[in-house]
Amino acid sequence: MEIIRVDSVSKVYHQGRVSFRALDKVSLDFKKGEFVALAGPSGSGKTTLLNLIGSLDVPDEGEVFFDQKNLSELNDSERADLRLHRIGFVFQAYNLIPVLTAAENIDYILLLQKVDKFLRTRKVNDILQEVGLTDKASNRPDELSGGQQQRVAVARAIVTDPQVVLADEPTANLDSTTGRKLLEMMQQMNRTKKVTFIFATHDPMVMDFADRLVSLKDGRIVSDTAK
Amino acid sequence: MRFFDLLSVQISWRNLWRNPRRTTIILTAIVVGIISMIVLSAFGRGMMEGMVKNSIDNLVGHIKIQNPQYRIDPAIDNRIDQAEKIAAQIGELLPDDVQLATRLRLDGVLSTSREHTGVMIVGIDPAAEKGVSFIGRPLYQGTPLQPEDARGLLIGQGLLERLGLEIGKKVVVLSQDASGEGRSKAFRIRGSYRAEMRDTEKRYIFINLKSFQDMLAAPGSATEISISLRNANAYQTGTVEDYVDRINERLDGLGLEATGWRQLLPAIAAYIDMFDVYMLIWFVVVFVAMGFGLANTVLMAVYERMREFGLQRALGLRSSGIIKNVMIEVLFLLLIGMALADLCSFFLVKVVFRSGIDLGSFGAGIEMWGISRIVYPVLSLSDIVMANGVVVLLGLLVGLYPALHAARFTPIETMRHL
Ligand SMILES: Nc1ncnc2c1ncn2[C@@H]1O[C@H](COP(=O)(O)OP(=O)(O)OP(=O)(O)O)[C@@H](O)[C@H]1O
Ligand SMILES: [Mg+2]
Repeated sequence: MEIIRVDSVSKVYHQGRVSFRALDKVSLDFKKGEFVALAGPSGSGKTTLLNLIGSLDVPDEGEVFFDQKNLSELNDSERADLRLHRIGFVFQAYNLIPVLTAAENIDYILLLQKVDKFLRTRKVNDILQEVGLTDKASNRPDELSGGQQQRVAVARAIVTDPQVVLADEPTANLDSTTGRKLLEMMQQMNRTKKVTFIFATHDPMVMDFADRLVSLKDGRIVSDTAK
Repeated sequence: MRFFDLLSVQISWRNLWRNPRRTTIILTAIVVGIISMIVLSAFGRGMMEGMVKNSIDNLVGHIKIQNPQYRIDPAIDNRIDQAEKIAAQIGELLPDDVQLATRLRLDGVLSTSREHTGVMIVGIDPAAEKGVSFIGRPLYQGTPLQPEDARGLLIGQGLLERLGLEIGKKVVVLSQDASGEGRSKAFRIRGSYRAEMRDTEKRYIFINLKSFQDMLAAPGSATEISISLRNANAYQTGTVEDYVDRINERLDGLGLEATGWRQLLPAIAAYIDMFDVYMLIWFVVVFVAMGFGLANTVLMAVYERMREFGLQRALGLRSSGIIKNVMIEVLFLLLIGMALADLCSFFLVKVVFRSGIDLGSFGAGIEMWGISRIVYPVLSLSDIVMANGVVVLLGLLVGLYPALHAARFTPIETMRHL
């Protein structure tokens, strides 16, 4: 069953008088529990597509369905709620709120979800253990390494038990060993919790890990292969 | 989410101290602003209270009974006959702690061997003036008027000096009797008084009521009965007016009229009534200067943290949540500023300026307005509440501007610029 359906979606950016078609009639489905990598050269539209799926942006043409729900029919607050409850995000950098500790950054999203205190504490502790950061719980982001920061971001993305995790170049700032650990961790979560993962990436290692590889070029899908 | 969940409060609090220098600067501005509001309003109020007290002390009293004609033409013709009897009757109407002073007050001339000068001659019962007017206070030099002293006279220190006189010197006082005849009598200066206003010192001389009556062959006459209420709050309207009505009922048919100080001193009464409005205007003016700084500082802080707001939005925080977080931060700034400012103001008023400030350097200009040379600041709860209220309300209103800005950042916009 598909969790996300992208239906002939186009996105056009305007800069002054020039308009640029970042996505051109892209159609694509994602099934529950998939581990997908979106690849393609810089400027091919990976981030744009991920943003549309994550309801961070709206398409100019076409429609995105998230669990049968047409995203273009949702208002701003409804889209915020969808992101909060159904989607986990991992970005390339600046994932964490700088004034909050690792534990608080994870707690933050549960708090937005109005999870009660007792459950929150447990979930935060569990997930920190899962990503191996129990001893860094009360460190602030600037006291964590890049890899540790990304692990906190993954922990935060996953702690709410979302249906989909969208990760935009999560390994771009990491060395390959750290990147591999992070990917192994996400693969583990994908397998145990059946969470759908969609990556936008240049990193061959990410493509290696993926079960399915979608390649974009100039805003179009050029290949879509399952492994 | 509850409105003030701990984490939002923590985020806002910690964000506040990410740039301690900036926060300190804007806090200083807020603190200085509020201090100037409170301390200056305390001086304003002190000045006003001093002014009211001076004016009432200045032979006015809270209520005055006069022949209405006297106010137009202050001559012996427009006198109160059998003043003592009327005073006694009126006294029965009023509570025990009220003080009545019967006076005969007329224009006249004071002559020394060298000079003549126009003065206001006031015949008083010295005992009745205690606690009622400035002449009831201890003298500057010499001895008080004794009740039976038919030739004793008190003079203002200012006039004494101007005329080159001394205590014990003889002077001649001249005034007109009911038939328009000039009457004069020699007096000896027993003492000199100091008044808040130089003008008062140069204008009023005091003699015994009885001896003034004798001099004018007008036994039992007076021109005013001045009534002073104990504990009468100068600002409260109502009490004085109640008494005025009651007294006027009793005076009906005697051709006399009782008037409250608000009618006697209309300019001061109006000033008091306007005072709160003046203060409010002053507070708003100070705030405007402060508010720009506040809005700018918070706006700067908000732009610096654009990316975090974008992140929070991406994670699913609604724009109202962003507004809330910025507003909590603004509220923190305001509350800290207010707490510090209130403490400092209290310290300034109660400790540093406890003994008042001397406006002597501003000289005569100030006295003209009935303002004392020394002003004691008066902290009033209502001023403090109003100053803080203005700061919180307008502060939050101003804070809304950067908050709305922050809420407008969209995640893609802010996260793109890495
Ligand atoms: N907000 C925007 N305004 C104008 N043009 C934009 C905007 N966002 C993206 N673009 C353009 O759209 C195209 C696709 O951008 P996108 O970020 O999706 O590429 P990408 O595949 O993620 O590239 P990269 O691998 O470098 O991250 C690019 O040419 C980019 O310059
Ligand atoms: Mg990209």
